[in-house]
Amino acid sequence: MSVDAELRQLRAGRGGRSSTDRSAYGFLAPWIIGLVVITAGPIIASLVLSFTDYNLLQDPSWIGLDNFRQMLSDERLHHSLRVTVTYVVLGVPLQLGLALAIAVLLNRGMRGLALYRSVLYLPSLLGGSVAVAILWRQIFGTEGMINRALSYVGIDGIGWISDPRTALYSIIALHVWTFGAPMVIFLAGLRQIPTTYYEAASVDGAGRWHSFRHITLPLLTPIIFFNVVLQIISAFQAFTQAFIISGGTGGPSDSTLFYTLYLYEKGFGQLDMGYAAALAWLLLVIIAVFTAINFYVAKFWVFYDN
Amino acid sequence: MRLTALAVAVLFASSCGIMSAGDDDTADGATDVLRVSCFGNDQRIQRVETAIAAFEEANDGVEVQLECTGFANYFDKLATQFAARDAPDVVMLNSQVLGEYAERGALHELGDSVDTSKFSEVAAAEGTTADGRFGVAAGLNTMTVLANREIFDAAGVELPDDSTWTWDQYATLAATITGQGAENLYGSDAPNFGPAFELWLRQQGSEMFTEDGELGFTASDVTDFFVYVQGLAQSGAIPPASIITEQQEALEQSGVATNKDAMGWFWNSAIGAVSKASGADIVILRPPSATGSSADAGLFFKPDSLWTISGDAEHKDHAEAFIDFMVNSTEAGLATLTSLGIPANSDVRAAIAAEVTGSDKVSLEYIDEISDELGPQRPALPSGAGIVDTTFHRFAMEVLFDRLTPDAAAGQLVEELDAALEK
Repeated sequence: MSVDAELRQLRAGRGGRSSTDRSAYGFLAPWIIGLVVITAGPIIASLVLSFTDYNLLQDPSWIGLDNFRQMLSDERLHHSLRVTVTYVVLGVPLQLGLALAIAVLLNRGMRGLALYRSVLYLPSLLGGSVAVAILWRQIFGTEGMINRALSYVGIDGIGWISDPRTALYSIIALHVWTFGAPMVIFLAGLRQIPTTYYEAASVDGAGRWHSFRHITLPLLTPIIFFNVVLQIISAFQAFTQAFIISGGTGGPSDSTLFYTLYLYEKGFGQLDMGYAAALAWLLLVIIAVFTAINFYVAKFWVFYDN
Repeated sequence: MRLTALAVAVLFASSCGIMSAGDDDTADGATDVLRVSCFGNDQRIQRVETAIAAFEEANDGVEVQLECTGFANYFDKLATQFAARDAPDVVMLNSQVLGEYAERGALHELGDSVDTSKFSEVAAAEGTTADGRFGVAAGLNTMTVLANREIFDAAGVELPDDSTWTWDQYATLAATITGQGAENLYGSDAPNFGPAFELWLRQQGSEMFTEDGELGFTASDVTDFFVYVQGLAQSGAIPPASIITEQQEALEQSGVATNKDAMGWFWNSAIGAVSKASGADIVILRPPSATGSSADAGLFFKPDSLWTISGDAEHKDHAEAFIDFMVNSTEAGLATLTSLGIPANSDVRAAIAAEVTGSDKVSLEYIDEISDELGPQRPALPSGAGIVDTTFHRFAMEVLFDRLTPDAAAGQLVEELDAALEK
C-alpha cells in the first residue's frame, strides 16, 4: 500500500480534517521551533554578518561587498577549494562504486546477510566521529599499522597523514571506508527490482554481467542519483576528519585545508567572523550550483520506471 | 484532546524548569560562582586546581568553576564564549592576544586592583596597554633549549657550553648526534619557529614589532632564518618534515618528550611536562647566540600567560581577589610552582625556592642564572600578533617540505602578516 493511500484511509477514518491538522502541527511543533530558533535564525544572522566586519568581540560593522571582493584575491581560499573539489571528485565516486559493489554482492542472498549488513554499515556511523579520525592517525602515522605491515616486507613507509603528498588521500580513504550508508540505500533499491526481469533475462541467455548492465543498473539509476546528490552535498561540508587528522591546521603544508577548515580558521582562529560568514554563503552557492547541474544532467541518465 | 494534553505537558515541564532554577538561586544565594578559564598541560591544570582549592578555603561564599583545556583550540572556544556574551569571569590569555582583546573592549580594566609592587619592572609592565592595565602576568617564561642527557650520552657527545655556543655550533652538534646516535634518533627537534626567530632577530638588534605596532623585520631577515632551518634539515640535524608535523602537535609528542631527539626549543614552563613525559634527565640550556656570548642572546622574559577579567564578569570583586591570590599568595605559589612560569612576585619566588625539587628546581635556578643576561624588554604586542606563531610555523614547514624556497616563503609570510596587522 502506498503512503498516500494509507494517509487517505487514516483521514477518512478520523473524521474532522482540521482536528487532525492541528494535532499534526502539535506534533511538528518541536521540529518547527527547532528549525526557526536553532537553524533559520542563525542562517539569516550569518547572511547579514557576511556583509559586515565582525571580530566576535565588538559589534559588527557594515562593509557591503568587501568580504566577497576579498575572496577574489585570497590564495588560501582558492587552494582550499582545490583541496575540497579533489576530495569530492575522488571520494564520492570511489565511495559510491564500492557501496554499489558490496550491495550487489550482499543482495545475492547469502546466509547471515543481516550481520554483514550491520557490520559493513558500522563505519558510516563512526566515520565522521572524532574517535575514528584519531584511529586513522594511528593507522596511517609514521609508526602506524600500515608502516609496520610494510616494514615486514622490507618497505620503509612514509608518514601518510603527515606528508603533504599523501595526507589528502588518507582522508579520502577514510571517506571511502564509510560506504555503509549509501550501501544500505543501494540494497533497498536492489530489493525493489522485480526478480521476474532477471528470470526473463536468464531465459534469453543473459549472463551475470549483462543482467547487471541492462537490468540492475538502469533500474537503479534513481537510487544512484539520490546517493550522488546527497554524497556530494555532504562531501563539500566535510570537516571533522580533516580537523582531527591535521590537528585543526589543515596541514601538513595546507594539503588538507578543506574549505570548511579554512572557514573555521578565519572565523575562530583569526576572529574574522564576517569573512567566515561570507565563506559559508559562498559554499552554499557552490553546493547549490553542483546540485542544480546534477538535476539537469539527471534528465539524460536517470531512468524512472513509471 | 491530545493537543491539550501535550500543551499541558509542555507547560508543566517548562514551569518545573523555571521553578527549579528559581529555587537554586535562592538556596545558593550565599555562594557566588566564579568562572575561571585556563589552558595548559595536564600537570599544570592539576596544580591550578590545587591552588583553587586553597582560594576557596580562604574565601567563604565563593565557589570557583574551572574551565581548563589544552592550548590547542583554547582561543577558538574563548572567542565563541565572548561572542555569545558567555565569557568566564577570569580569563587566562597570552600576551599575543591580550592587546586584541583589550583594544576591542572585551576586558575589564584592572587599574590598581591587583598589587604588583613585588613584581620586577618588566613583569609589572606586562598586561598593560596604552589604555591601562588589563592583565597580570601569571608567571614568567623565557625560551630555552631542553636537552635529553641520555641521548647525548648514548651518542657519546658532551653537553655543550650553553654560555658560548653559536647557531652554527648548534647545527653542527645536532647533526653530529644524528650521525652518531641510534637509528631514527635526531640531534634536534625543529626549532619552535616563531620564538626562535624572535631571538634570532633580537640578536641582530631588531624586534618582531616596532613601537608603532608594525612588523619590525623584513623578508630578507626571514629568508636568512629559513635558510638556516633548511640547513638543519639538509644536514640531518632535525627529522624529516613529516615527522616534525607529528611531533609538533602536542608538547608530549615532541621529539625530546618521546626520547627521539636530543634537543628541542621550549618555554621554560614546559620542562616539568617534558621531563615527566620522557622520564629521562632533561637539562635546561640557553639558546645559542650569534656572537658566542649568551649575554648577546637577546633573551627576554615574557609572561607565560596573563590573568584577565572579562568586561561582562558578574563578580568583578571576587575576580580581582582571585587574581591577587594567584599571583601574590604563597599558597598559590606552592601549588602551581613553576607550571605557570616562574612566579613574578619576588616573595613568592623566594618562598617556593626552598620547596621545589626536580624540574621545578632546575627551572627556577635557570631563571636566576640568566636574569643578568637579559636583553632589552620587547615592546607590547599589537592587535593581530596572535597569528604570528602559526604563520611562521606554516611557512617554515613549506620550506621544510621543499614546497617553497626560503626566499618565496619569507616574502609571502611578510605579506600575510602585514595584511593581518592592518586589520
